[in-house]
Amino acid sequence: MEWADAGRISDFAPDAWRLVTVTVHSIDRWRIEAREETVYVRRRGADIEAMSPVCPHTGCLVRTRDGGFECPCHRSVFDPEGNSLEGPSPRPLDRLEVRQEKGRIKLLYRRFRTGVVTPEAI
Amino acid sequence: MVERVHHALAAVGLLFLLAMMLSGWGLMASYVPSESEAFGSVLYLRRLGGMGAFLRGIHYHAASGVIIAGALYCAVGFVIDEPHKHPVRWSLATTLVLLCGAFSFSGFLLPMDQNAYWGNQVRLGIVESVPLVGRIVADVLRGGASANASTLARYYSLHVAILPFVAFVLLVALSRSRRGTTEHPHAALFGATLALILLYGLAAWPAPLEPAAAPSDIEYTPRPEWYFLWLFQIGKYVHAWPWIQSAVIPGALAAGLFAAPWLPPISRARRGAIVVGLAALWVGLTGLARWEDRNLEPRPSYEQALQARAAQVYAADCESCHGSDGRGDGSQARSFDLEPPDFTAAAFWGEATPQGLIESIHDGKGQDMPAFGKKLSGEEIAALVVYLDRYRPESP
Repeated sequence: MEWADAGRISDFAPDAWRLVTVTVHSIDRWRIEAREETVYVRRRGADIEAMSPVCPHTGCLVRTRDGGFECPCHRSVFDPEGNSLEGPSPRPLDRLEVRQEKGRIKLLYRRFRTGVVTPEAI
Repeated sequence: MVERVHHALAAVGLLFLLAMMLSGWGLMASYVPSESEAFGSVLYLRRLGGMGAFLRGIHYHAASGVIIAGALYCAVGFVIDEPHKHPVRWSLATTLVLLCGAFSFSGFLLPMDQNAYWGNQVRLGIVESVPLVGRIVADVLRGGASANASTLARYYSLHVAILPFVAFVLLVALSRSRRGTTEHPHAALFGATLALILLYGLAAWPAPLEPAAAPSDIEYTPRPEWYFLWLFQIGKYVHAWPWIQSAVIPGALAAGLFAAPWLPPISRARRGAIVVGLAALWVGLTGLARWEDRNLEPRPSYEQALQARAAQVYAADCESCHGSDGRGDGSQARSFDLEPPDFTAAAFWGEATPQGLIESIHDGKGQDMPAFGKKLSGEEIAALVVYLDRYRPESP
């Protein structure tokens, strides 16, 4: 696992989630992969927050809607904090670990098991 | 009469299975079961047209056909009380029909286009919600807790080796179980001929292919295949208890099929009513699912997505000189005194060749046309050349 670069902090307007594409390098069986992954990132005062767009229900990617999020597959709806409001999602959207480094955002991309109540990194 | 229909349906199903096997062998001559190659090898067949595309069309349509024929075979068989008259044949045949579901599940991922990737993602999520075993089954299928480099190899081996072997054993057992039963050779011949004609006609429509799987594409809206829409719709109502959708309902259906020979006999009218009721439920749920998705944009095919991309590229990189209607009168051209060609002129197309256009975009031309070889992929350049065709004047 490595910290993926998600851009400059100053590029983020405060309090709004923005979809960022990060490149994640990982070892998958016999090969080294560089995968593009999408992540929602938000600046909150001095803090940076990152959230996985992968719906905890069956793994589709959620989209922003009315400030919150909605999954196109089975209509799970989440509030702006990622809490589950309605639909089949068994838990809130998963948060990702973030740190700031020389004005840039670094995050630890992870996937979590779908369909379970407690997040479980895989 | 109904017995003859039942026999004809068996022949239709078997003929479709045979078509799947033969076309599958043909597809294996080109398909590469690797995450990086799978899509390209399927796209190659599609682009080339000819025998590969024909075989893929047959394979695709026969897959739908075998599911329809199988479902009808079970329904009609139930009405004529096949479970009590020929319990062994009924059990083997229903197992074969359910096995076709497994074939569909494993074959679905193989093209590795958007539909395949996302559909499989959601299906596995639903499998995982089956109590006790769901997670183990999903992990064995994927070869881990998430999709990885082994996943496609597992689906492929299931699809072309393990399941065909089971199907073969079932078919041999079925052919033995038929001894001593009344045959309707004419009905069977009629069914097989009908299936053959149907398949040949359907092969004119090539099997669909969407853009290559993009696991980070947030815009994609997956939907199940038509034969799973009813279950998808049920899922919307029971979402607090996902195991109802994933285990209870499919389990009850399978248990009903297997247990039918041991259930007390009921009148033909009642059996008919059960079948009609289930069919009505299926039609209603499928219709409802479609109706609720009426505002959903149809998913673009590979070619449509590529042309949409070409339009984007043209607007971003070409329009400022070549103009929005291809006349070479973009704002940049006017202000810098450049003279891009007029794409709407017959003279331009008299000299242009696809290869020449590709080279001009890739390497640039003259002093004013910049080279785009580094900025655009080969695929995008080729798509642009196709896109330019819209400006070509109709030949007199």
